[in-house]
Amino acid sequence: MELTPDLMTLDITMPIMDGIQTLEKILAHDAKAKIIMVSALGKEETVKNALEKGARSFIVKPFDRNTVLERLRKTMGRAAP
Amino acid sequence: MNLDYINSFILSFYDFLKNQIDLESRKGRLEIKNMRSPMRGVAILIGISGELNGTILIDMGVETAHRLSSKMNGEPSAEITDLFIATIKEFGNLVCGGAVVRLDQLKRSFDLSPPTVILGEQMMLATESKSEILVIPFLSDLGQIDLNIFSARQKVNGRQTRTQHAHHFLPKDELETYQAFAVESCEALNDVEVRILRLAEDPCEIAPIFRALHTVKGNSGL
Repeated sequence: MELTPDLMTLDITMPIMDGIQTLEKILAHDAKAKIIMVSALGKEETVKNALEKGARSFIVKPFDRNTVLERLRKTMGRAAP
Repeated sequence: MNLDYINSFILSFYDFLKNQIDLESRKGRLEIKNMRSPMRGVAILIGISGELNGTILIDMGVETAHRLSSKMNGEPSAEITDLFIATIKEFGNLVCGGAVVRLDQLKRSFDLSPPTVILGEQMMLATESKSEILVIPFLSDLGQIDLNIFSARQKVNGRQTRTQHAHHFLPKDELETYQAFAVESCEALNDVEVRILRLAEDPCEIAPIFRALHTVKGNSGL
C-alpha cells in the first residue's frame, strides 16, 4: 500500500484473494481510489456487486480497444478527443 | 448436462477464436465418455460450480498450445515461459468466462475457479465410473482443442425451479402431485438428453429414450 496510482485495473478471478475482496481492501485504505474491474466473468450480478462496492467501471473480457479507452477517459474525468 | 451448457461453451469458443484471433473453427463430433482419458500435452483445469458442479478440462497438444499463445500475444512462442503459461490460463479463463456470461443471460448461474495449467502427455484425469465426461472437440488451423466437461450425474436440473411458482396457484394436495410429476419428468428428460448424445455411438439407446418419453406423456395425462 505504498504506491498511490491514479488508476487501477483489477481482475476478479485470482488465487488467494479475489478481485472483489481486493477492491474492498483498497477502498478501505483509500476511499478515493479509482478502480476499474476487468474480468471474463461479466455476469450481471458480478458487475452490479463490483459497482456497488465502489468500482468506477467494469470491463468484460475480451475487450476491444475503444471500450477500454472510453472507460479510462470517463473514469479519469476527461472528455473524448 | 443440458443443451444450454453445451451451446454456451461452443458459442464462447467460436466467438473467442473468431473475434480475438480471427480464426474460423468448427466443432467435431460430441462424445460422452465414462473412463479416464489421457491428456495431450497442455491442459487447463477450471472448476465450475452452480447448477452444474464439476470440472472443465481444455486439452490440446504442445504445438497447438504454442500456436495459440503466438496468436494471442502477437509474437512467436516456442518454449514454456511464464508468458506462455499466463496466456494459456487466460485462454481458459476467457472461453469459460464467456460461456458463464451467456448462461447468466439465460438465468443460469455459475462460478468458475481460477485456471490451472497442467503440462504432460499421457497423464489422465481420473473420475469415478458414475461420472460422465462430455467431450467437445474443436478444430481450427491451430490444431485440435478438446473441451472436456466432467460432472457428476445431476438428478434434477434447473428445470425444477420453475415448479416453485406453482404454490401460488394450486391447493396443497394438487401441489404435491404436481411437484412429484415435475421431479420425475425432469429426471426423465435429463436422462433423455444424455441418451440422445449417446445415440450416434449406440443405436440401442433409442428404446430407453422412447420409454422415458412415453412415461412423461402418460404422467402428463393425470
